[in-house]
Amino acid sequence: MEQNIDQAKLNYMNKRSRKILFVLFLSIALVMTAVISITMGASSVDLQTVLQVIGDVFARNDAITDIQRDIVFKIRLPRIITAILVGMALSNAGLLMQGIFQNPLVSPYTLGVSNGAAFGASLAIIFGASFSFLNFGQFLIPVFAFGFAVLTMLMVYGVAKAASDSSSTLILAGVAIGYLFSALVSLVKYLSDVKDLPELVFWMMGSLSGVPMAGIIIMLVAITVTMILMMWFAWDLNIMSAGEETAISLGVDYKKIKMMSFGISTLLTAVAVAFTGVIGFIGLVAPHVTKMLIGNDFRYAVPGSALVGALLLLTADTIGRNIIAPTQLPVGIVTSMIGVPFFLYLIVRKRGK
Amino acid sequence: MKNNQKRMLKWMSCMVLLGAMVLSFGGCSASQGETKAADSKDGITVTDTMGREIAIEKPLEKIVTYNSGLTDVLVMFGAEGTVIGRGDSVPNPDPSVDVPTVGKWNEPNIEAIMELKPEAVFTYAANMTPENEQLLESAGIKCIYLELTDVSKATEEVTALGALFGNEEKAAEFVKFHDKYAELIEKKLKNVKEEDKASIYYEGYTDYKSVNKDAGGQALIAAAGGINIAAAETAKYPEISDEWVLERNPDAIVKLVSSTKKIMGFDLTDEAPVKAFFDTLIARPSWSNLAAVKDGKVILLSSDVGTTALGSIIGELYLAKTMYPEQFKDVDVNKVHQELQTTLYGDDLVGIFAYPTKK
Repeated sequence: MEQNIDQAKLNYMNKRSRKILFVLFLSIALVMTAVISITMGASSVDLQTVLQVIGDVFARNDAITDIQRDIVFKIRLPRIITAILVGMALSNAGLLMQGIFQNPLVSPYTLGVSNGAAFGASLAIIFGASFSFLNFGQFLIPVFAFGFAVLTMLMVYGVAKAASDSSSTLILAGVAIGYLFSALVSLVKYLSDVKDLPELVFWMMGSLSGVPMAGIIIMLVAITVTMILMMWFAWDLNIMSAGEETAISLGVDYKKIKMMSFGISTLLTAVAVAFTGVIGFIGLVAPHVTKMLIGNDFRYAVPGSALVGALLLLTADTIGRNIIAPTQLPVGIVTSMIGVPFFLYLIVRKRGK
Repeated sequence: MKNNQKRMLKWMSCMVLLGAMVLSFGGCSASQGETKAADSKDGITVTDTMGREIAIEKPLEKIVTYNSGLTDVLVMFGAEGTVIGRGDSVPNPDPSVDVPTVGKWNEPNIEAIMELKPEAVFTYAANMTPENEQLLESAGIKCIYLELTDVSKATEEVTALGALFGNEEKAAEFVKFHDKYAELIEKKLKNVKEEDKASIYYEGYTDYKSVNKDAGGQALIAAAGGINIAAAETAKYPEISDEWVLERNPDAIVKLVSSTKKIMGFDLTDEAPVKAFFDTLIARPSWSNLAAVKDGKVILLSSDVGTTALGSIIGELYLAKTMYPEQFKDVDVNKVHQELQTTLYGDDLVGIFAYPTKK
């Protein structure tokens, strides 16, 4: 009996070590991808120039031009950080939603957040001139997108609460309200002038370029705070993944954790969409990939999923920036083109086993 | 004998077929873009943007338009009254008359058009299906594609419209004005060698969306004597890398501002929002290091002078003056614009069409 317990402990320790190792491996892979990414771009700034630019911070190098310095520090670095943060935000939002709804098809966008945000953005893009009195300047689109993303979530929650407050009601309400906002976006597009359409279409394909420093800081704070919360409540989330009845019988405050998860995933999605537009796929697939590789335990899945999301989005953006440079492919297109085959491969491999 | 007759019949059929082919080839020989106009005793014949020959008996009196660029031209001709229906985004040429809208600008409502019984419909070819075209034509309604989107075809298209609306004099007046200043640009730049031509980064309404050699913006750049840095890109409207623009370090930058932003264009006179827009543009990462910014060769152009058939000559002048300030120091583009306004419409010019401007 004691031997069996020892064996189980050993197995657990082995699995735990493997998961920790995997998270460590992902961290190293992310750092390496970021290093590769910063040396690649449409300009001639390559590895050697990047090293010279970094060296220039410590000892002035006159061979380095201001433009080269800015390409590294003001263009590529912020974009890489944005890709990492948005990948983390969308992936963790998806992980949380799939966990609490016990539904593998749920993503940050299932509950209509992206459609709500898109409607907010479309109002700002098409009727921006009418809102100039608000003096939001370059933050008009993010503020509107964020505001409508949150409004959508409140509507979904309100409808679900008025009904039965069950997970399936919430998803149904989300899908329905998502369709409503999608129709409203179509209406705005239909009524808009041809001159404004490209900007809206462009926003709806997602872009990681030109996110202001304030946006990066907001995303960083949101992700840090929510990740701490998710790790703090990781056990509760693990139990909730087993279903409502089990969670309640094991003493988890189901409603409180569900409400919190709902709030966290809304915040993460809304913040990401507000600054970068609609980037699909990451929030659905990155959590799945993580769970396929290291299981459902939130203590490892939270950092794991954040890293997988960041890695996937950063890789996609690096390809999008370089494949037909200097023209850039919208990141949403590349994400699906590289992510879908990888995801299908993992499904086949897992089912095959 | 019977065989001989059959052979003869075959020969004759072949000759007739050949003749028909030659004739039809001749009929189609006006390639796309060669807009032509001709008056004859039997009526008016013009070739539209798609290279189709349009023949009408007398100047048009009742039309439906889905082409927003046509409004200015009709006002110039004094033909506002001909519009009996318009697409939703087409400005009403005569606000004193309630002209009904008949569908969205890119989705002509065939039923509504037929009910109005116009003589012709002006729309973009891409938005008219062959089936709908046939339906309208069979109801005696001409489909005319004079698109006014390519500034290099502005004079040909306006001439054709002059014939169709019976105001060839006004069209000729515009063409004369246009050619006078197009020649001025050519004359001023004739000594600029190819290698000394200014490189320019053209940005449309959306950030970092540029144009390649096939897009409308290219014609504007070429007419102003510039070299488009994104001309070789595959996409017609490519999203260009910000770092690439920095490295290419263009001699000049032009940014188009949509009239829907309501900061530039006719009747807008407050410079503060235009200045704020301009300051945000040049404050992009590292743009302060660009030659164009340092040399003051960045210009905002209103869509009224950057993309329209009548206004594009003004856009070309602004662009040429930005790229070659020395050669154009004696040209006050705002004055030329005022002259155009007086020539075409007989009134004063009010609005901001370029920023910043130099006398």
